[in-house]
Amino acid sequence: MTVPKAEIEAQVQAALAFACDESAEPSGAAGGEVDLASDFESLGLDSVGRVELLARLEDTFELHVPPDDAIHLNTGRDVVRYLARRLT
Amino acid sequence: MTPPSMAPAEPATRVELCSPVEELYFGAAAARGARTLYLYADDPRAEPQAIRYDELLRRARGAAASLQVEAGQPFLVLATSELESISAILGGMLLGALPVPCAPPAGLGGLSGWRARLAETAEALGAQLLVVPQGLASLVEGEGEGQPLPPVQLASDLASEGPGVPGLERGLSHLQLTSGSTAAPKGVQILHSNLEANLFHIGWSSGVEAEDVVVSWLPLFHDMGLVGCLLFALYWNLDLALLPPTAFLSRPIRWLEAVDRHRGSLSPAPAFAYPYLARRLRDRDLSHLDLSSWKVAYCGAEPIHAAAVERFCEVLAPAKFAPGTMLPCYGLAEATLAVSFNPLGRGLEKVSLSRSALTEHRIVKTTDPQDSTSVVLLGPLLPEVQLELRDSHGQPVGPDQVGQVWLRGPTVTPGYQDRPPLAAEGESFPWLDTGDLGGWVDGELVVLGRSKDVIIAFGKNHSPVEFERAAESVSGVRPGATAAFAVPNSRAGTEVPVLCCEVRAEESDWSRGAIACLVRETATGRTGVRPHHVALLEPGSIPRTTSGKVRRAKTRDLYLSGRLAGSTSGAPS
Repeated sequence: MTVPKAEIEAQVQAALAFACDESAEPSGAAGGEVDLASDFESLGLDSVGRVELLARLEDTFELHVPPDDAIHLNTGRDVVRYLARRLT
Repeated sequence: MTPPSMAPAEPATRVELCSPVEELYFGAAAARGARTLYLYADDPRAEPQAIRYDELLRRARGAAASLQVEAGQPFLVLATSELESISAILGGMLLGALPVPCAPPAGLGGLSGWRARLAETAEALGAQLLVVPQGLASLVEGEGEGQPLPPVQLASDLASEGPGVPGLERGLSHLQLTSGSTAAPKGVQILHSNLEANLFHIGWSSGVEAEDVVVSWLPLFHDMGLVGCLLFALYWNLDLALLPPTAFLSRPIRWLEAVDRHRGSLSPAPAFAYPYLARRLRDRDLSHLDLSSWKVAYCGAEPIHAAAVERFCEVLAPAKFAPGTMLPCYGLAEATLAVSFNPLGRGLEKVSLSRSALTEHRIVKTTDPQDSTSVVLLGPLLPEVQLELRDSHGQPVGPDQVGQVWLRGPTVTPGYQDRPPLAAEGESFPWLDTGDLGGWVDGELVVLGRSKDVIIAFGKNHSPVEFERAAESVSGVRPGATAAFAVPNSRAGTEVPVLCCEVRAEESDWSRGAIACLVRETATGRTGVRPHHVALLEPGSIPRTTSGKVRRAKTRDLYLSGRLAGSTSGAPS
């Protein structure tokens, strides 16, 4: 499966915006823009939030990210780059 | 779904146990025919691996024979929910070495922080070995930044059978890491005799029967997962279905599917997990699941929010989850695991206490909604546990008074590794100061927070939770991201409350001003005390423990030293 990088970026952006705003409805529109360069801890994601975000991305892109890959991905941008490599 | 094909094919073989420690955990399996551990993987499509407890004993003996550690020495194990990790932990116990189950990485990011914590833990406990499952080997290779890790042994290199360590007496079993609010990791020393007393009474108070099945997704580096599930299932010789914690956090429905499939009857979780599952699954149709086998859903390890747990019961009602299944309890690693238990079958029961009386450390029930706070009853004490409520000078408080919870009994642990022991010379059962504040309501325990977190302003005692709940009711404040604490104020001649709140990143300067005002007014209305300062912070500013609890004392330190990130508005009044 090849997914264009722009779409990967949009999906990561949406998942991240949702993860950073626990009050949002899962079906509702995503909140504001989240900076893809910020690391997850500075966005206020705790360890549970970081597992949940990973699961959401795995579902969206239908792939499994092994833990020893996931731990190296600290920002939205890292995730986009990693997914682009896996999906193209 | 039914699990007939999962039963192991080969018949049980007779096992000769060779030490009092083996007797404790494998005695029931040897006497009554070994039950089975079902190990699930992260991949939801994979069938579980089935290991009968006689086979698990062989594996643990193999680990005991090949671990590069001496009896009495602590060693770290990256505690995944895989057979490799489990064998290493049990093998260490059968050898008389001290396993220290540590958190493996989970989710996205955080490698350098995780490695640093692991190195700090090894240093603090004097651990000379790190046992790592094969799948995580690449994370501990090389130098890395900061402090070095201890020498690594791969869990996959441990032998799969061994002779056992004959005659090993029951001394120390393992070290339980506590995720306290202080920086240095501490290892609680757990004795086999602590475990024996607690495992027996937990089972007895749960009405355990031979056909019971334990279902758990709890991590083995937490006491509830290691003691409450793995060692509990072994001690009572019950089937155990074990899922990795990430399986639950990623797809919470897997917990429920495992209960349904195995006809699970005993399944615990920390209090946060119930609202977490309800939030994730509220729009799903759960009527295809049958959870009627679930007898006890233990709920503890952190403060319980009644409304959130009630929401869980509502969401699970279509799956035949009976609300009486919910069993709130109180406990802590320093007392092995469990201290008090709700009566079986009753479900969550709450009581309304007068907030104004609580500020004077008195327990008074009330029906006045303006003055009430809802508190969850945590049941009577387990047998053999003694509890005293004391004031800050260590003197017992009167009836209907709030006091610090002190405990004594066979489940109270000797102390922390490399720290002075709790017991004085010659004392057999010392008193433990838990640091929690508690009281009695109708013969049941209620826990009202940590004594060091109490805000004493103008001679009244205020729980930080009251300020935090008020703040979180204001739109724009991030739920679960607030911290209230007291700071000295020389002008007022007393301590004054400060309330820190993370606000959503998209709020404008203008709306921040309004949020600060609203938080101050709401908190003043609820507590009768005006916060001295409402600090609005960027998301992620408030420090948390690895399990996600807000670290109030650490937040206070950062605040006092001016190092809290993104403090924007709401100047001291």
